[in-house]
Formats: sequence, structure tokens, C-alpha cells
Amino acid sequence: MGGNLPNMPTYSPTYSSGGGSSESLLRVTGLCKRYTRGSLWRKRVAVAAVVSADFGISRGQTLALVGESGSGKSTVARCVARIERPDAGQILMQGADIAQLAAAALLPFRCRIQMVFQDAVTSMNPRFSALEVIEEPMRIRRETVHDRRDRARALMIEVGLSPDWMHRSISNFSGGQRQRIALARALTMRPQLLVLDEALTGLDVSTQAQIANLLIDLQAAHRLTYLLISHDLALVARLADLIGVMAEGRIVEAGPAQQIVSDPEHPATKKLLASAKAAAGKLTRITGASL
Amino acid sequence: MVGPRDLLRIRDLAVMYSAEEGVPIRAVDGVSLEICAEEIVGILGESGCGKSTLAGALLQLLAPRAKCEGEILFRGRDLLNLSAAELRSVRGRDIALIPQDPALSLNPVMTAGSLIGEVLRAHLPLGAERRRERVMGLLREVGFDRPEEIYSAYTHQLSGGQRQRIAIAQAVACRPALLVADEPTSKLDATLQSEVVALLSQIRQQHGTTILIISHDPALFAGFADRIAVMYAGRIVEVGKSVEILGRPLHPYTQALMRIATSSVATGARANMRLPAIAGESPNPGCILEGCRFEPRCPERMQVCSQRYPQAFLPEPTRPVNCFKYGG
Repeated sequence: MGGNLPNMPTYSPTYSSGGGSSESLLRVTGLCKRYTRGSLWRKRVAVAAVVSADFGISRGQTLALVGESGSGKSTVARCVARIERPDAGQILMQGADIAQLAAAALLPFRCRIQMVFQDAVTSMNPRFSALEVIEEPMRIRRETVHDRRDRARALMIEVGLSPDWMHRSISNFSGGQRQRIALARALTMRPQLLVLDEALTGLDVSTQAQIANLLIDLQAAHRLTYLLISHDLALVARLADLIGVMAEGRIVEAGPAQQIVSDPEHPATKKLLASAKAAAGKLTRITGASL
Repeated sequence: MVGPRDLLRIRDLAVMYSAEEGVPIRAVDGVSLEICAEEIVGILGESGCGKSTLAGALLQLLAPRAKCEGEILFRGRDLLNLSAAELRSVRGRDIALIPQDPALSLNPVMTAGSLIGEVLRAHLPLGAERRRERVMGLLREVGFDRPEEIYSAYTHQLSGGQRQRIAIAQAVACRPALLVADEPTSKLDATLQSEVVALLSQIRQQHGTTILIISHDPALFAGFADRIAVMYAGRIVEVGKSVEILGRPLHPYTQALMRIATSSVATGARANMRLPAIAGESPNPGCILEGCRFEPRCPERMQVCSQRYPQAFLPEPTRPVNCFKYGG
């Protein structure tokens, strides 16, 4: 690992999606987060989950952070969504540093930044109906019943769910449908940035493709910006404009998705690419040109 | 094809879950499959297609409200007719399960060594000393270079990959004839996945273990499974050699699935290109379709498809396919 870590380019004209504006939405510099490990009897030791991370995303773009488990990518996501407070560094959301804001001051930003998790169901109250899950953020913001119902209905249609199902319990939905509900819930706040932490992981191949397509459609319709966290480089390459590769708490390589996949430099990137290609290779060797 | 080498014969197996109201849900509906000794057979299907219920039925580890019909002949004995005591002696010794999520199946207050030792104690009369030796050997076999360290570790001190190895060591402890692996790699990243697959191949090679492996990911079976049975909405729609199913699928569902699988692994980066997907969703297991269950989503549906269920046609001698494209 060289001493000079490449910084994420904030904007590259060739890779902007949609409108072609270069308006910067998020800029993260020097992000650092430590956790302490230990128990009642043992000495507590600090473990750096993120040593230092710098990157930026323009409006409407998708930035993917990829890496093996433990590389710190989820911690970055949790800091950006401010579920965690970073130990150092800046998180500039449209120029305002939210890295150290207290709960009350964060409120307006909570709407602008929404998070979707891997296991949608663990982020939902199991006794709720689909409607209750989707309208929960609006209820917290004391919107009227009428407004809530209307928006929930419209969003259900938009994410590909029938509004007839709105009173069904969340437990009656499949994994893919729950992920659609999670997206609808996130969209109720009209966010600008969606933080997707392994939101496509653990889904069937066909469901994964459906949700990936839904993300592409929603991004175009709402000019959404995505921070996509994944260990699956092959999938990410289909969705992201920019890719940052994380290893041991740092972004070790960053650039346009095409470049990272076709011309990887860092050993961590090469390793991720090799395992993605190994999986692909086994299939293509068998399937050949027959499909 | 059917011969004395059959280790397992599933005939017309149906598993029904009684619902609180209305008709019971048929999670598995008329599944027949033969598995030969030392074979690796993959069950390919999406979540909700009944593949985990099938695995549960083989070990008779289903919820009490589940009811099985049909036959599951293991070495000629019907598992559906065994008493609870007989089943206990079969489970773990003759047929063992590798669960999907070892974090949930491993007792958190037991050390790795005692978790594996527990299986041996239940089935084999070994002294404490011999048992410890066996456990150390098993830990080494599943790839731990320093078994002493792992022996006294609790599961929370282990990584996901290490936990899955412990679960595999538990499953192979009594040298079962049949291993049932239910999505053993779905919680692991790509590198660990290939390690687990390599380990299972090695177990088959060394001990002649028959493996039934369940997954939604066709790539997992490539170069690993001998045969694949594709399941959709509770039924097997196509069976064949692994190379044939993956390389030249015949059922429209398998064809669609393989188009997605080969495109999402194609590493050519094309940002914001839509992926090929199958429109719609699998039918709700509660509703009963008269015809082919894939018909509502099938790009090649014909009139007959919605009228009755297609029996297995044989477009090629060893490839039964339940689709009217190949007869009717």
C-alpha cells in the first residue's frame, strides 16, 4: 500500500448520469471512526474501523464502496447516514458539515439522507402492515392521515407493489417485496441521498435483478444520489458511476466504474475482481456462447 | 436410471402447511427425485419455491403444522414412517444437515469443540479422550490448521466462514451417507463461498458422501454438482446433468434464470444499463394454479399452459422437462 492514496474524483463529466449537472451533493474528508473492543474484565482497546476516507458524490450519481467484510465500508455508510458519529473528519452535505451535529440539528438532514439495509425486515416493526411501515416517517413528522395515505399509495405503485396489499402484515411479503417497501419508506421523506448498505445482498438472482432495475428507475425519476455499499463487484459494476475500493479502513483505489473493473491497480481490487471473475468464469465456461 | 445404487428416492412428495383459515399451503407439491450414492445433486430455485421445505422433509425437521405425503425412501426405508426414536438415530448419523445460517444453529454457550463432540456423543460410544481426538481430526479436516485454538473458542469469537466450517464439521462428524446442505454459502462472501464448495467436494471424494445442496445461485453449482433439479413454486420443472442445465437449459424458467445469472456475473461495466429480469413474482403458495405455475411470467406461454399442469416430457432421453414446448 503506497503512502499516496488516490482521492475520489468528485466529478467526471463522462460519468455523470442524467442531467449532466456537476453539483456536488456530498463531500467526505478525513473520515475516521474507532470502536472500542473489550469486556468488563479485559482492557478496552480501540479498533479503527475507518482509518481515513475521502470521497465526494455529485447529484444524481452512484458511488459504490466495495470491499471484503471488515474493510470498513458499512461504517462509512453508517457515519454518512449519521447513525454513528465519526471520531474525526468532515461530512459535507451540500456544504454543511453534519459530522458532529447533535440530534436536533440533524433532523433536517435526516430527511435528505435515508438509509436502506440488507435485511429489510429487521428494520421494520413485525407487527406493522405495509402501510404502517411506509408511513411511519411521515407520522413522526406529524403529517395528516390523508397526505400519508396518498403518498404511501403512490409510492407503493412506484416501487411495483399493488396498493391493495397495503393492509397486509409485513410478514406476508417476500424478501424482494420487503426491500421494495423499505425503498418506498425511504422515499416518503423525498431524500436526495440514499445510502444502500448491502441492499441487494441475500436476494435471489432474479429478485436482485428486479430491485437493481427499480433502483435505476427511481434514480432517474427522482434524480437520486446513491451511496451503494456492497461486496459484490460484479453487481456494482452494473450500477455505479464511480467505485471506491476499501481495505483495512481506507479507500485504496477509486475511479470510474469502467476503469476499476477493466484496469484494477490495488491488490485488494484485483482480489475482489478475481473472485467475481472466478464465479463468472465457472458459468461462462459451461454456458459458452449458447445464451 | 433407477437402480440399486439409489441412496435416496423421493416419490410424489407433498408437504402441506395448515393455514389458520382456508386450504393448506402446498409448499412442496408432487416432487420425485432419485439420488445415487456418491452423487452431488443441486436443487436450484428462488426463495419460496419450497426447496428448504424439501430439505426439512428429508430430515423430518419441519414445523409441527407441516404434513408430508408420498415417500422418502432412504436405503429402502421410508423416512415418513419412522418413529421419533428411529429418526433421532438417523439424523446426524446417516443423514446430516448443514444449515444456512450457522450463527443461528450453533449454541452460543458451547465451545466449538463441545458442539462437535456433542454429535459424536449422541451416536458413537467413544470415551472422552477418543472423542477429543476425533474432534481435533474433524477440525483439521474442515481446514483449521491449529485446532487447539478453535476447540475452546465460542461461536461469537469466530468469523462467519469459521462458523460455517464448525457446522460442516458437526455434520460430517459421524460420516453420514447423505449430507443435506441448505444454502450453505448464502451468508458468505465470494472467496469464502468457493472455499466451502471446495471443502464439500473434498468430503465427497474422501468419504464417498452423497450431497444434496440447495441454492438460488446457479454459479454455485457450476463445476461442483453432478446433476441439478430446478424447482419452481413447489415443483421440479427440469432435471439434468449440471453442464446441460446450466449450459443448455430447456425450461423457459431456467432459461430466464440463466440469462440473469450470466448477465450479472458479466463483469463488463455498463453503468445504468437495466439488467435482464423476469417480470412478475412467483405465485403465492396459497393460491392453486390449474396449469403450469410459471405460465403467468412465461414469455413462451401457450393456451394449454394455463389449463393443465404439463407432465414431464423427454425432449432428450435423460432430460425430463415439465413444459408443453416439448410435447403435449
